[in-house]
Amino acid sequence: MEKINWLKDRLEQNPGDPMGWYWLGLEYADAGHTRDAISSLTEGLKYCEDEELKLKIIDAVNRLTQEQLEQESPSYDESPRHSEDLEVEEGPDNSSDTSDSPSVVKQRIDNAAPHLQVIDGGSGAAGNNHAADSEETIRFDDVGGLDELKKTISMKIIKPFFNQGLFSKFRKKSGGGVLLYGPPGCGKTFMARATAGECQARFINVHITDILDPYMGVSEQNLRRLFETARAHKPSVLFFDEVDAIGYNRAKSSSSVRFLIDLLLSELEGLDSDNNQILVIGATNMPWDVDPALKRPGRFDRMIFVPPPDEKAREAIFRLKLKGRPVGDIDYKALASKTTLFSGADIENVVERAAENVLEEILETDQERPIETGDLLHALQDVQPSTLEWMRTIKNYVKYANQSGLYNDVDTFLRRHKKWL
Amino acid sequence: MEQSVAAKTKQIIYHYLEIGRFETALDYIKQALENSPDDPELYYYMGYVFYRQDRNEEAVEVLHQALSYGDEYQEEIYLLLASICIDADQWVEAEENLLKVLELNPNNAEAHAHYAYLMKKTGHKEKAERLIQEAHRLDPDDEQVLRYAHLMKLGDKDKEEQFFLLERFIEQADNQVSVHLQLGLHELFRERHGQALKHFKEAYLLDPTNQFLAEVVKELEQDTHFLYAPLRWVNKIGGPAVLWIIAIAISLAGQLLGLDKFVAVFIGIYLIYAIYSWTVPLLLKIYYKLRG
Ligand SMILES: Nc1ncnc2c1ncn2[C@@H]1O[C@H](COP(=O)(O)OP(=O)(O)OP(=O)(O)O)[C@@H](O)[C@H]1O
Ligand SMILES: [Mg+2]
Repeated sequence: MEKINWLKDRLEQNPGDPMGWYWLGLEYADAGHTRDAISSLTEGLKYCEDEELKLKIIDAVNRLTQEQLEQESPSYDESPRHSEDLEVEEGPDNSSDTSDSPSVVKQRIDNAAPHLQVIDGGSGAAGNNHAADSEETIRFDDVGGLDELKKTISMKIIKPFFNQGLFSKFRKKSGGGVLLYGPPGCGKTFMARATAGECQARFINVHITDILDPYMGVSEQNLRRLFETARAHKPSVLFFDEVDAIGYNRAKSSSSVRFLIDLLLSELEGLDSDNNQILVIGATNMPWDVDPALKRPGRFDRMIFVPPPDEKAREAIFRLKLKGRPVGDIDYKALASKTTLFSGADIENVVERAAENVLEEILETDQERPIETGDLLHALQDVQPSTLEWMRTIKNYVKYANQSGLYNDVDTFLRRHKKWL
Repeated sequence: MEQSVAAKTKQIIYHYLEIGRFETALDYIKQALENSPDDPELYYYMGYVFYRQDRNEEAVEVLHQALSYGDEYQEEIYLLLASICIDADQWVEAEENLLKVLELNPNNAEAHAHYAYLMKKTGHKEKAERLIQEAHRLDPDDEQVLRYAHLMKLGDKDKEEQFFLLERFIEQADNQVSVHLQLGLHELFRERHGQALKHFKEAYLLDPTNQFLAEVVKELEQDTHFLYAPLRWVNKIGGPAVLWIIAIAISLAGQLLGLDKFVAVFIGIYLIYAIYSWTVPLLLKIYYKLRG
């Protein structure tokens, strides 16, 4: 215990010392305080620049997480506090009012990246959404086009987020989450990240694979821990990707799925009373599969349609995807005008194909040349917009499901694109 | 470590299967197979996905593979194989597979229900009745057995029994889509068409990616008599006890009988749909059996 206290003292003097956190982690592990050990190690990872030490830490965390899983009984109720304490201890910005210190916040975003990744996904599970946590901050400027959507998000999310005082004066509640929905590959995740960037908040990506665990009680614990992390890192954006997989409509599921949504509901309720420094965003391709209770006031109560990229957005995506490849004088306008209803992913597909064809040609002829507009136009002839199926489904669906006007945005979009569907 | 990663992936696979995201489930199954290429459980899940995606040949192939890697899941695998054969009108193979299930577990209620269905489909009325009674006795709470028993009674004079079975089914059913389908059919047979349409619409709203439901609603809204008339006709000549046989007959002599093709599709697909969802609770059982 003495050694632990000594290390803690040292770290209080110098909280950015990864080695110190590493040692503290090992000490905790020896003393059998697995959870504290993991917290310390992850803390160390935040500040660690030395590759070798990083690997060591990750290794230790993996081992401990595993041990923890193996021993854990559902009696976790008293322990999660510790990890939160530690996280709060370290930061200089744990005052609840962070809105006036954006630079500190930003720094934290940059430093704190792999935190969740290690705790939840590090064991090599199949999920591939963790990477998002470590990417750099994205802002609205990085998102091409979609001006209307940006305006909506700005009005409905960002302004209330920064002007909570004003909103509460006028008794307009700014809490509650937002549900982004739309066809696959059209920038829901991207937009959510950009929103977090605009709010200068920490982005915490939550996916079903971060939560589910076969051991009794561990799934619950994982979900709780994510909310705890969000609380410890205010202001933060808690992003539920593929929220239909966690909040799957209880009317269509068996009891083994229901527990997850009950838990999610109660955690969201808890946030409400907490305060408004945590923004909750969900994304889904299947809004009809999200449990109705999750769409009620105080939960994901604002639905926002993320349409396929408009012409300007498509141009931006073409530029983005062609960046770093040898290209000639590309006519981006022409490409954008010929790719109505293409998703970001479809455009990527077009670029890949074109590149492949050119490469093949070069190998055949031995004549090196860049990718030209013609190659891309040729490639896109073989690609069907992948949003079509979704669009046709929703077109039929809104006929019956839009009584309350919930899907007006979609309706408008459909009217504008009638001839394509 | 290895072990628990596998367990975690299986949990994820299972979750995606339960919520009907078969493509995603398949991705995870393939990933898991890379680490344990001879795990029969994974092949069983894969077979289930293929079955739900109407890729029956592939389903049969991987299910046989599952059998070759161990005998833990024989009962479930043979039952799934039986469902596939029934859908493909391979009666003999279907019966063989069902008999294998019953040999492994003579008290398997759902196998009895499947068997009853097979017998009904092939015209063995009395045996079908006996089997469904037996299924009922073995597990009076089984959702699928209740659903099937209710379907069988739809055209009967005994309204009380119908209501009883319907009520019991609704009590036990997890999925409101199948509840609304069952209610819709119930109303259809009582010639309350407006009510029937309402239920099919509810089912569709819960499951808008379901092509079949979308078709049914569209058809019902446009023009109703196509669907209703033949059911009334079915009713007159003996009720749904012959429905299954008619479904087959339609495909052979549809035009002769003056039936609209859509009706055949409706009946055919409804039955497939009904069978489809049979396997979900089955999976649930296998899963919990495995994990205590
Ligand atoms: N407006 C845009 N500007 C720039 N890039 C975009 C835009 N829209 C989409 N993209 C690109 O397309 C990719 C796919 O977008 P994203 O992953 O956000 O889609 P999604 O809607 O979350 O898809 P899914 O439903 O499959 O999760 C992004 O990585 C991004 O590079
Ligand atoms: Mg996404």
